[in-house]
Amino acid sequence: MSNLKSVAYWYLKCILAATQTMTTATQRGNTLLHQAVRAARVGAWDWDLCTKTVIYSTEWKHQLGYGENEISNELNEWESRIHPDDLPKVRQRIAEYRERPWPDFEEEFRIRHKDSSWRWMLARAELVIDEKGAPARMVGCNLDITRYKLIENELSRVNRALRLISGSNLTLVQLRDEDTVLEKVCRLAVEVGGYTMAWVGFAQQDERKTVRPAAQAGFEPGYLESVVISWADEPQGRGPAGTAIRTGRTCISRNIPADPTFDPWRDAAAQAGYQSTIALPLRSEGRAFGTLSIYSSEVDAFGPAEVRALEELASDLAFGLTVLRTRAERDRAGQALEESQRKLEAAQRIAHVGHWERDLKTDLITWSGETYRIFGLLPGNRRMRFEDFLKLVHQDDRPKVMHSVEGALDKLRHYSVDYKILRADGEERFVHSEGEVVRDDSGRPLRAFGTVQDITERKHIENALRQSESKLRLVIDTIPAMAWIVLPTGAIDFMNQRWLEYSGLTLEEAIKNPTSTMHPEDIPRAIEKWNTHVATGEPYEAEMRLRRADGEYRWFLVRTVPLRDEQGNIVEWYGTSTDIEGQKRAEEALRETQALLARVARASIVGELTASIAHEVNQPLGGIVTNAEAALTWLSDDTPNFKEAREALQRIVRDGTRASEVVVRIRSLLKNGKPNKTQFALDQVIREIIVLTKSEARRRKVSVQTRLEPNLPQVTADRVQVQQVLMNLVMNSLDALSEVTDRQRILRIKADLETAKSARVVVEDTGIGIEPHRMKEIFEPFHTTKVHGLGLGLSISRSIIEAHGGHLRAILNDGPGVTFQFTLLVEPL
Amino acid sequence: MKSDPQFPAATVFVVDDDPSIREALSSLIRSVKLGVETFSSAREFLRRGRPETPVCLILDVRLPGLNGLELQQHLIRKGVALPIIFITGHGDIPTSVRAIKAGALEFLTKPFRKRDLLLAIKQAIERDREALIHRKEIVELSARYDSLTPREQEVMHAVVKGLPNKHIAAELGTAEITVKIQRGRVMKKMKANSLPSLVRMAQKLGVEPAAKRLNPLSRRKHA
Repeated sequence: MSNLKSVAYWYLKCILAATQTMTTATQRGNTLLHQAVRAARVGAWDWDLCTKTVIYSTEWKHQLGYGENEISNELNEWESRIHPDDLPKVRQRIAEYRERPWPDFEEEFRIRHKDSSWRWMLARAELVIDEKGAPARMVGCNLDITRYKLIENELSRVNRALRLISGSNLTLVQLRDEDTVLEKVCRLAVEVGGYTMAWVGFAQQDERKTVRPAAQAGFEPGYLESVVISWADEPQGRGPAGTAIRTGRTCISRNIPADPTFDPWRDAAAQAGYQSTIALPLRSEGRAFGTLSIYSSEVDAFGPAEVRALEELASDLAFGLTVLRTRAERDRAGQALEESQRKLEAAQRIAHVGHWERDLKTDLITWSGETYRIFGLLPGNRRMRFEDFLKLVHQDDRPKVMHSVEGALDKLRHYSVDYKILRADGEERFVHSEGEVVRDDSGRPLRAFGTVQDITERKHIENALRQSESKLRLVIDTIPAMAWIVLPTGAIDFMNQRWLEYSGLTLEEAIKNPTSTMHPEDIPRAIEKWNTHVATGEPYEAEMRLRRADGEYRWFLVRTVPLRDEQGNIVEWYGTSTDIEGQKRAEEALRETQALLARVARASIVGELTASIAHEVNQPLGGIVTNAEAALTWLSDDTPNFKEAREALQRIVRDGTRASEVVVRIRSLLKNGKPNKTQFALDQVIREIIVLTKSEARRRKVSVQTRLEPNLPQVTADRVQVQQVLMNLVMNSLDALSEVTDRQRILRIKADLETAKSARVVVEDTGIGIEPHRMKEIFEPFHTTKVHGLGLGLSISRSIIEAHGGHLRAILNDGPGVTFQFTLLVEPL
Repeated sequence: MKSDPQFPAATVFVVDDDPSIREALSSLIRSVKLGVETFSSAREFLRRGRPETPVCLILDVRLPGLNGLELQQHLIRKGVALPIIFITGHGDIPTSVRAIKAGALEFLTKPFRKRDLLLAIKQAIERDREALIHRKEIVELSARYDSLTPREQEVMHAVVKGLPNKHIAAELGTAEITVKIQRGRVMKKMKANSLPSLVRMAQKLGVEPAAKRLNPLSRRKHA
């Protein structure tokens, strides 16, 4: 506490005593004392605790800029003007003091002047006790201490600024890392300096001349992130920080809310509660390279002395930073030099580079250690002339070396030559030598110097590479496939010789029109497929027709695989096209043969069934003849019986229809038609087959049981072929059953849904079965267990079912017999 | 064909699993005023007893369960005499030979003509009628024969061999007069009015040693 204040207290104390005396004195009309009080510029007040009225003295009113009649005797006149931050504290203190009047009542608070400014007051008061000993009044006086307060603030701020300088200088001395220094200085500004926020920004030499915040401390709710600060001469650059950098001078915004240059950041600053700010330039060599900006939550927080102290701080900081940077740069340069030397040494060692020098006057040659090592010699200081050196060169290459060296001496400055050397141990090495010739003013060569490098490994690798490359090309050109490379864009990169020979095109022609050899019908499909595969990166496989040089189209199997780089991006596609024309033709022939075989097999089944079929046809025919004769007889009677005759005729019609249905079924089975997929009810076909084989089953005393799931969806298949398969399975079962004597002969036919998309037909018998080890063979063609069988039935049946996307398999029953089952797709056409 | 007094109350049995055939045959047979009963299987037919009126059986060779030939064998084993006309959709020679050998009357292949069928039915029923008459006679003769005393049966056996009374008496160790009396009793009980008549009866009964055993019923008698 300053002396000023102590003086004020002492003064006040006197005045207070005087005031109390004055109150009584007033009553007595002692105007002298009254005047004395007024002269002391102390605002007195007398608070009647019972009536809750306050008598404010004229000076009290003057202190706040009011006239005698402008203030009433209400307590509110005082309370309403006191600073809201101070009111609770003052009220509480009054309440405490009334309870217990010790220590003395002495409070500092702010009160609003008529001109809206705040005035600091020091109030002292005492209680006046009535006759009964109870507090009756509180009497006090206020002294305007605003001026002292300002001085006191300024002083403490300057003090803080000085402490801040000392702290930050210490930091600069102690710390080497720039970021840490900046961080620490900002923190010191907040912790020691007591400011709300501090940051350091550096001027960027970018297009927009931005100020990049490098360090920050204090209360900063995203302010620096949300604002754009520039040091250009534009609105974003006319704030304190930008101005300080641009002008190189301190820039203060004493009242941010009222400062027009603060427009771009006003809202953000208001949110953070910044009321004033100072931006201090960081200068080096006469130029500001950054700023230290400090914010305060008070208006006009930076007094002149404080500003000077802060400027000193900024100057110290700038100097410190410059030193730090120079030091860091020097360290870096030193390290880089060391590093590059180290690298060079390592590189030379690794690269087997030696150097040499030849004095052209004395013809003496000097070699470095590595040069000796390259030539297979121990490093030493032997005297060597050019002819000695030449002896070390492989004799095949001596003319070459002589030629290039002489050429260089003659007119060129620089030369390079590759040659073989023969080491003492007989090993041949390849070296690469580069040389430069130094001439005197008249152009006469003085000396030559240069490097020599062992490139044997490189030569080997190059040779190996060249060999493997030519081998690869040979392989690519001779493989019996056409190979090519396509870029992801679809552009052709490479076509092998075979491809070019086949197409009769040049590489240029092929590149110009990549689809020129494709069959026009295949192009749209091929392009569409190519695009999907390029998009997914999946390997591509397609069959297409490609035109041969003579114009004939042949079928090819085209396959591509993508080559990816390390990041997984497709670099190019490698492809082969294999001629599958022969294969295609064979496939077609096979298909035809299979169809023929299937027909033969069908015919053979029908052949086996002849007796049964004859029976099926004969039965209704017999009925027809007999009914006809019956009808004739009924009619030829003396009293013709028309009713009976009509009934007989109706039966004729019925039986005739029945006979014709049988014939139609047989014909459909023998029909020589192409595979024709239709939708049909599976149970219908099964019932037809049961009818066709009924008499056969009866003849063999086989009980045929069916369990067909109702509402089976229709299947999509070739009806005749499915009939054939069923017929085959049923006839096989009947054959297997007819040899059974010791048990019931049962044939079960079931149909149900295996999955939602696949119907299943099961043909199960209790027949003699198949030996387990032969289960695998039964589907092979020409494998038969029957004396007269062709051995084609099951093989054809399986190929039929598989061609329909289903599968046919045989399972040995737990009990006697075998179960065959096949599936068919129920999906729509 | 009109009602024939030769076919009184004759019934034709039809066994065929095919309803077309059953219905057609039924109609045709009824149209010639013959009784008809149809059966869809051998088993069904066997549940129907044989009536004491002339019948014939039209039998399909192929039948579910017991087939036609098996039914024929079954009937023979059971001693049920029944004229059988086989019908078949596809007559094969071995089958028809077996059927005929086993006593089938006719073997017709579908489709057959009415004339052939009716002729076969007529023959069959005629044969069955005769068989019925024959069987009735045998039954009666057997009853008469059974009424003879064992001694009278011995006398009868000797008489039908053509032995004179004296020989019979010597063979049986009795007096000639006794034989004569016994012989008279035999003739009376057997209702034979002459020796040839008695011999025929003995032949029918199968008691005459030289005679062929024509009737299975007679063999049963001996059993």
